[in-house]
Formats: sequence, structure tokens, C-alpha cells
Amino acid sequence: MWVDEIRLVNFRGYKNASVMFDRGVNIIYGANASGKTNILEALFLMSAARSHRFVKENEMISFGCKCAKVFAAFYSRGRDNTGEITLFKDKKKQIRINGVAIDKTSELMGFLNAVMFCPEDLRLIKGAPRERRRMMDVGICQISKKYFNALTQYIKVLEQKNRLLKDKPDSKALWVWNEKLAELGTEVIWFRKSYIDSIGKKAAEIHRDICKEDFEIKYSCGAGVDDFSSKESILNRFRCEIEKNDEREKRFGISLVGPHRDDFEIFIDKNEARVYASQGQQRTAVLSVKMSEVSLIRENTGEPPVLLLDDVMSELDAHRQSYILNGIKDSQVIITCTEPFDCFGAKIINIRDVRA
Amino acid sequence: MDYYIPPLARLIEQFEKLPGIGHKTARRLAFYVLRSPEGEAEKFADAILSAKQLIKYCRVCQNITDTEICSICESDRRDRSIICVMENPKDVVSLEKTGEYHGLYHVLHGAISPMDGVGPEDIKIPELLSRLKDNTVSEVIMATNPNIEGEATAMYISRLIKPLGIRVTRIAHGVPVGGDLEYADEVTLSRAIEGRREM
Repeated sequence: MWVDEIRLVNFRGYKNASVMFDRGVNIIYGANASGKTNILEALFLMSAARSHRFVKENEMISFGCKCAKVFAAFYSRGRDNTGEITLFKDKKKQIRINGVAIDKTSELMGFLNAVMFCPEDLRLIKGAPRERRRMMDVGICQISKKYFNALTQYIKVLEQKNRLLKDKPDSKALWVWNEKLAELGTEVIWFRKSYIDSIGKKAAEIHRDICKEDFEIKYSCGAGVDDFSSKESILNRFRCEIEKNDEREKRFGISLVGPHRDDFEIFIDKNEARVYASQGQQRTAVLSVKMSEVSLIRENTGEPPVLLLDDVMSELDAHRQSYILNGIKDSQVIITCTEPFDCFGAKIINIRDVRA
Repeated sequence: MDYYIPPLARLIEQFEKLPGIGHKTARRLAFYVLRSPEGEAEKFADAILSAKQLIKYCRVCQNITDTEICSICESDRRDRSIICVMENPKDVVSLEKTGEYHGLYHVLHGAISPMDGVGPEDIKIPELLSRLKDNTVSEVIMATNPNIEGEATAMYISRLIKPLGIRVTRIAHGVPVGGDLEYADEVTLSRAIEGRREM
């Protein structure tokens, strides 16, 4: 799949601007703070219905405006499509695909798949577990609607259980929420485990290709599960852990067991990357993960996703750069950088021409 | 709201409190009442008052009724060995319309939801359990809504009933009949596949 055009109206600093893309490599260059990332943000929004950054929806609306619009023309699922997302200051966003309104965000998933790689992604290694869970969720949602549904339901049950623990920890009905949490949580864990395993396998290959180092990624389950052989074994262990932590959960008034406390760790040459890896090693590790995301989406959907690279090329050496540009031949790549660089056949876009 | 004289303002406010009614609709309804013939407003007010005063919960099934025991519970043509548990009186009406169900009902008046401050003691569960004591009931159908709260309520009640040796069943999840498959959402459709049956 690829994006032909994106148009931004009252989106961040853009009053009304449009960018056309080639099917291959596109390089958007320009000075700092000239709005390059915002274009990628809009593309990501069209893919995942939210920003790649931790921001509120209405922060993407130009200052003083009531709503922002993003239009995109893209090719996917064997046809040309148009997408339109309107963000409002004070109400829910509206999404239209090919002119038809979509009321559930889940229906947008899969129309336009994109993988974003930006400087903040180093937090995948150094950041809080919450950010790694988010990466898993964004990744799995692109390939499975069933996961999206299970996760949404899990979050609802978690909210109910937390409220009960806070308001009435000695309620007779607590076991119901524990049971529901374990049931839906098992589904979430099952998906995450197999996702991390596939990412790990692919990333290890890619990583070895790039830098000959050994790469490993380990899923650590927030429900204390270590035997993932079947859903039953996950469910049983999950139930046991809830029971074991019953006292503590009631004392703290919050759920302590479940995939909402999941995490994963990356190991380079058997050492924990978070602690031992250098800046460059971490960046390469993240690159490997991102590249394996691309290939996983392609395998699961039959179409290569769009790769969005925000300001990361300048921080990679020539070898790693060429790996990106040559390693993903059939993917559309949209790159932002401060200086244009040589890349055979790439479309070069000056951000000043977009802004004008 | 200074520009309405007080009696009118009061009427508009009352309408506006109703679910699904905004300010403009409330204003339209209020003016309609003002314009209607003398007796109409009285009939309207009386209908509201008497509905509120006369309608109470059936002593047996907790459905709304104007008698001590509702007509379904009184009827000798109903199968007394089956009870269908529902969240709202509205659900009973829906199932009654089918004409297919001949057992009794039990209305919970809500579902367990900590977020809304509703626990098992806030809905009519004890009333249900006391109905099961005299061995006439052999099956309880859990027909609460197929959302998180309804499922949790069904699960909670089923565990209370099972030790009594009574069969507990849950209504099936599936695709709406008479519609096209393409309009069913994915969750419903995948549940329908899971619950498929031999032909």
C-alpha cells in the first residue's frame, strides 16, 4: 500500500497544505521547527486514528480553530481509497473512508498500515513499560481486529474491577470481575506473546544482518505467566496469581495482576539493552524491531505498510541507512530530515514548498 | 431562561429532564401542551401521575404491574419450571412479543457495574434466589445484555444457582435474523461462528 497525497487543514501549523508522494522513497527536508514531523503525524493519524506522540486529539488543531481536517488518497486492498479525519475541539472525531462515515475506530484499522520510526522510539528500550505496551498494541491492532476488541473489553473490565477495589474491596461480586479479567486478559496475553515471539525472530535475523550482534526479545507477563503453551495454562496461572495477590489488591485498592502490567525486554549479546547497550546499539535494536514490524504486517495483510522515518536517518551511519533504503524494496518510505541526501530515485520535497 | 414566564419555564425544565429531550424539543412540547384543549393537559398529567402511583413491582418476578402479582405470574398457562432472567421490563416486552417463550420471568432492574455504583445487592437477586427454593424451577435462562456488565451479572448469578442443582443456561450470541450477514459486526459474527451447530 502507499499514500499518493495528504492534505492538512488547520492541522497544527498548517492552514491548508497538500503533499504528493511517490510510491518509492520520499524525502521531506527543511529547517528545524518547520513542520516536517506534523506531516508524518497526520499520516500516522490516518493509519491508527491517533497521534504517534502522547498528545490529546485537540492539541493537533491549529490554535484558535474549531476543527482540523486531514485528507489522504492512498492505495490499499487492491484499490484507490480516500480517507478523511476531522478532529474537533469539543467532540469526538469523525472518520470517513471513501466518503463513508465510520463510527468505530476499529473499522479504520487495516485500511492504511504504517510503521513510524522516530527519535522518541528509543524509549522502547529506555522508557517506561507503558510505552512498550503501547508499541505492542499499535502493532497487533494493525494485524488483528480480534485483538483490538479483546483489548477494549479488557480495559473496560479493568476499570470496573479497579473501581470496585477502591469503593468496596470486600464486595461479594469481586470474583466475577476477577474471572472476566482473567478470561479476556488471557486472550490479550496470547496475542502479545505470539506477537513478541514473531517480532523477536525477525528482528534477530535483521539485527544479525546489520551488525552481527545477537538479539533477543523477552516478553514478561504481568499476570505472572511463564508457560504459554496453551490458553488454559495461561488462564489457570492468571487465576492463581489473582488469588495470591487478593489481599494486596484490596489493600492498595488497585488491580496488580494482568496484562496491563506487561512488559518486554531486549537483550543484545545476552545483555539487557536498557542497562548495557550504547546509544548506537539501542538505536540499531529499535531499527531492527521496526523493520520486523514492517515485515510482520506485510506477512499478515499481504501488503507492505508505509514506513515513516522521522529524523532518524541523520543519526544512522551509511551502512544502516542503506539497509533501510534497500532492505524494504516494495515499501513506500517517507523520510524527514534537515538536509536532503542522495538517494537514487527518491522524490525530494522541500518543506518550504509545502508551506507556501 | 428569563424570557419565559415562570410556569412555562417550569414546564420546559420538566420536559428537558426527560431522556433524549433537548432544550428545543422541550420548548416545542411545552408550547404544544399550552395550545392543546383544556381536558388534554389534565389527561396528560393524570396519565403521568397514575402510572407513577399505580405501577409497582410484581411481588414474584419484580416486573412492573398494577396488581399485586403480574398477569404472567398469575397465568396458569405458563410453564412454571423455567425462569428467564432479564435486566429491564423493556426486555420482557421484547421477549413476550416473540410469543415463543412460555415460562416465567425475573426482572433484575439493572446489572452489576461498579463504575455506576451498582453491586449485586442493588439489583433483585435475593428475590430471584427465594423463588428457587420450592423445587418447581428446573431451569434458569440468563438473558442479561451481551455486554461486559450483563455477562458479569449472568456469571455471578449462575454461580449462586448452580449449587441448588438447577440448570442454568445463557442465551446464544448470534447474527440477527432477517438481516444480511454483511451488516453484522465482527465480534457478533465471530461469536456466531464459535457457536455454530450441526445441521
